Amino acid sequence: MYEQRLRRLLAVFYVLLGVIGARAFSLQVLGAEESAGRTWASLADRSREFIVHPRRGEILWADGSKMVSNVPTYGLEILWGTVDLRIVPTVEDLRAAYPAGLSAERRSALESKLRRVRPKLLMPAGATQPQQRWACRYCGTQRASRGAPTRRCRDCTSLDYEEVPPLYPEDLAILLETSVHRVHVALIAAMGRWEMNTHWRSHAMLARIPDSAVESLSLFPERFAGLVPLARNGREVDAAGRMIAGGTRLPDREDLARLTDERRAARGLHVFRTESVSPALVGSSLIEKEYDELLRGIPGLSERSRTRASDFEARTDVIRPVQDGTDLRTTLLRNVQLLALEEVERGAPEGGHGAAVVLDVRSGAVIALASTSRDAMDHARSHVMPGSVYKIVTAVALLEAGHSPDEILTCEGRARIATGGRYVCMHSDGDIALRDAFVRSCNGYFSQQAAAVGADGLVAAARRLGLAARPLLGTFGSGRSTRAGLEYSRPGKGDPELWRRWNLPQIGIGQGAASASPLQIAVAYARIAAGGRLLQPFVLERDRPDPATIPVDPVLARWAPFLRDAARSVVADEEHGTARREAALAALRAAGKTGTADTQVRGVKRNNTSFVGYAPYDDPRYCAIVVFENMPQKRYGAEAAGDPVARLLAEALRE
Amino acid sequence: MSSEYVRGGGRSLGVSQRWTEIARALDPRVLVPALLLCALGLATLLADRPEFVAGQARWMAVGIVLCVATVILPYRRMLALIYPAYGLVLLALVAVLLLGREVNGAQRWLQLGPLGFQPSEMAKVAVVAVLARYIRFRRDQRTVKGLLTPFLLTLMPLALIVKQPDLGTALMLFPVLFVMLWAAGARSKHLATVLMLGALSIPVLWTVALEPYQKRRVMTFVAPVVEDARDWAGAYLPRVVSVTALPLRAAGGAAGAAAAGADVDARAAAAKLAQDERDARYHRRRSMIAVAAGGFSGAGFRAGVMNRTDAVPESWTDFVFTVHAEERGFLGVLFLLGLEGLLLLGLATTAREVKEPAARLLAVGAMTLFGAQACQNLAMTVGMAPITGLPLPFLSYGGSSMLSSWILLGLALNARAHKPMVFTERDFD
Repeated sequence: MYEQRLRRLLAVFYVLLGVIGARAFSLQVLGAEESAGRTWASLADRSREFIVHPRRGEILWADGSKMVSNVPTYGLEILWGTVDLRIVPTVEDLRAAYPAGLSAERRSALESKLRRVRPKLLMPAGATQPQQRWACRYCGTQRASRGAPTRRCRDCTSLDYEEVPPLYPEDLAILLETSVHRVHVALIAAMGRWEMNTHWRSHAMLARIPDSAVESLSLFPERFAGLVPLARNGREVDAAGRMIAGGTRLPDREDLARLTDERRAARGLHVFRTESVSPALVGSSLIEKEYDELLRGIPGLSERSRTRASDFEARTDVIRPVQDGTDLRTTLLRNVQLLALEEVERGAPEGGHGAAVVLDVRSGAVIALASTSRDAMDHARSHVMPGSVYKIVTAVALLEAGHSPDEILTCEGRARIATGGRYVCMHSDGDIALRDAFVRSCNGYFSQQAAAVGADGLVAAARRLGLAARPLLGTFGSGRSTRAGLEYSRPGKGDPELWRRWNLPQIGIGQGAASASPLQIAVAYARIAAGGRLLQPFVLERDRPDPATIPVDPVLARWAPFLRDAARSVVADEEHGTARREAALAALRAAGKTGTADTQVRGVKRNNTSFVGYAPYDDPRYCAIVVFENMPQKRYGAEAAGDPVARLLAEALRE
Repeated sequence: MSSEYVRGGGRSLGVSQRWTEIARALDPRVLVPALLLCALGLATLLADRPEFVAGQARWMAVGIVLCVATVILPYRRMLALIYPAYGLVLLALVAVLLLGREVNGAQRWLQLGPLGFQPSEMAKVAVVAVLARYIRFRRDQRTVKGLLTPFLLTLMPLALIVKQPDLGTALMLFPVLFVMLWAAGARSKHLATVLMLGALSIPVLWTVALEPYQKRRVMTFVAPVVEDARDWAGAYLPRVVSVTALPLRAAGGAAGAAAAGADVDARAAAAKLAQDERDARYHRRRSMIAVAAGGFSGAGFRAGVMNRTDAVPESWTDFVFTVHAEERGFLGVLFLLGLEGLLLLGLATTAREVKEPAARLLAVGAMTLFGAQACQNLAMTVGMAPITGLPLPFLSYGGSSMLSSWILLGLALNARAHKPMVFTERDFD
């Protein structure tokens, strides 16, 4: 039995070796015939792997329509070192390819570009292709030669060549499904750059090319040598969305260092490394930056391979499926946002800034957030000197400290108070209580009371109202100011007690060291309007809280009816209300507060004017604030900002 | 079995007679194919990595000396010491896990001064010898209970080798164990049952024991085979999702989902998996292209494009066959397969001619190990088996592999030089 088993074992090994031999025969002998004269090696790689770019997540309006549309697409890089020069157009080609209706200026620009290019690169009309190109059948190496090359291939010593079909710009245009004109212009522009630096990697000349062209370009690199498709992201931004999602900025020094080709940088040139420039600049600010990981998705991997039947058919296999980016739905209402942008652009003074915020009082959702700024600075979330709208903080501090709302103080118009600080009031209001002081915006009353409740009381009240040091709505684009708004609570240089004594009267009326962003002020008034519910602003639907879980602040809840009544009187009190002249607010049954802060721009006195209001006053639904920074003098809060707030509230209520 | 047989010291011979016996033991039917394979290995290395030729020749010389030394020492004396030696090998395998040097993501090398060696190579020899020592006079391998100890003796080093991880070497121990037991008379149905149980445990091993890159390699092998079969059947089914994608989707999807949560580690892990997968596919494709590029008569010495452009990774160790196949073509492949066949035939003849059970088992074990290793290595280079890091005996560059091969060959031939007195004609059955 032993010998029998030994023989069987030997037989098994012989069979296995025989199978391996048969496989080698099929690869080495049959395989060569099957590929019709092309060895496997001549194709080098029969298949190529590609990164499949995911669809970037969209940023959507509250109604689900697109605010920012990110389009994954491909560009074309032209590597002049290896590009097939036969695609260089003739001068006449270019002129013939001018599109009908090309403007004289554009034609002139093209002509001048044409003249700069070294003439010998642009072949004269009628010139034939100077040399044919031949590819080694064995290893694919190309060479230029008149007639079939007689010298052996320098890579594999083969003498077996096949002619590479000539490549004309028209062929390229068909491949790219774009006009000959665009291809020509791209080539000319690339040549112009090449003239400046012959080592230049000219790239991204054609912004968008179809996927089918990418496939062909990648599968047949020997035919389209020097043309490399580049993945990139195109972006279409709705005008109304640019503030919150489409903010672009120029790359800063750090970006340049990261993206620049190091060898170029050593010579003082900035050349983006092509593979990273586009994705890096999309999503560089605001919501796009904050949620970039979600929006970006995860690239997939696919393989395209030529089938055995024909080299010109390709099939695509998915190796790792692509995961598209996540769409982000915002709480922004398109019409309200558009109107907010329009209002701040119309109302902002020359050289000044404007900002508007509209909140949903029921949930804290931001339904509009606008700023005149076109840079990444977001004035809706940057701190400003708020003016009298800040008196709500002093009022809450006063009530929380146990002062009676009926406590009477005397306003003398302009006076030094007990702490040593001074105030200036528009009118001498005489003996006055809290409600009237709020309606008339009496500086005398609030200055004296702020000094009485002290810094700690103001800090506690500011916290209750949401004027926290932490920027609201995440960290994106949080703007220029790093001031916390509560700086007065921290001892500065010198004697802190002295600092407080002199500054508290100013802070109590929203002047001096007082600081808050328009969004924070809006949140403070929305909390009062919501009966003391501690609303937190949010801009993405995914952050929407369960209404039942929103906590209620006991102090705010206790005094909210009183403060809402006072705010209503600011609009409704026909005798003293500081916004009594704004009929539009009255018509909406709005309540609110005016604010005017004294500022200076290069020594010239200016005002920050603002109005914050909500409507309807008996069942508040929306709260809006409009702030114009650095307005010329004599433009008080309600005058400049009252009407815009009324229009925003009306639009929001209509939605 | 008589006790005289067990303790028998062999015939008493004069010195000159002993050397004659030893010279006769160096059977040309085994040694000539082995030497020719070594020469082929050196020639291939000369084309691919000339700088390694001197080292390889040195290892080869040391190997031959060790082989002769192994033949000179009576194998029964050596087998008497095999358990301590086996223990040392196990210790070395544990040491390699703790102190080993990492190469290509696996911890397989132990550094002793200037020399590095792979204990797993020695483990192969140790397993063959320890099994031969254990089984030689037993009859209980015909029962299920009797199989337990041989399995235990094999699985201990195997588990340590898998842990390195070196799946290729570890898997080679299975055919050695099964064939040695089978040759010693174990019942086929017992072994078949064990094999079936092993097959049923594959899903468990897949999830527990295999590293992600090893899974990828297996899938890289399986998927194209299915695709090829589909091509040959002429059925062009929709290829929206390829066969390749299906088993990979689970791993990729999980990693992807974690990465969606902005988890940097998960993203890196996904990238690593993708890279492993690309490497395995790339490796397989390149090695097949290189073999095919040889054609019928080969590209000639140092004329292979794939070889000259370093297109196949590890072409001097595990993929040495690709260089040979490209340079010498199908004729060269036939020659090499013929040499392998002759080597196996020579070892089979030795296994048939020697009478003592341990000697037979040593020869059978050596034959199985060489045969299985050669078949696996050649099959992976022509795309018929998953890629495992396994050298081709006598051809691949590497000292540990060369030494262990020659030592094993010496053990197999040893019995010819030290024929014991045989009191019985009892065979394994």
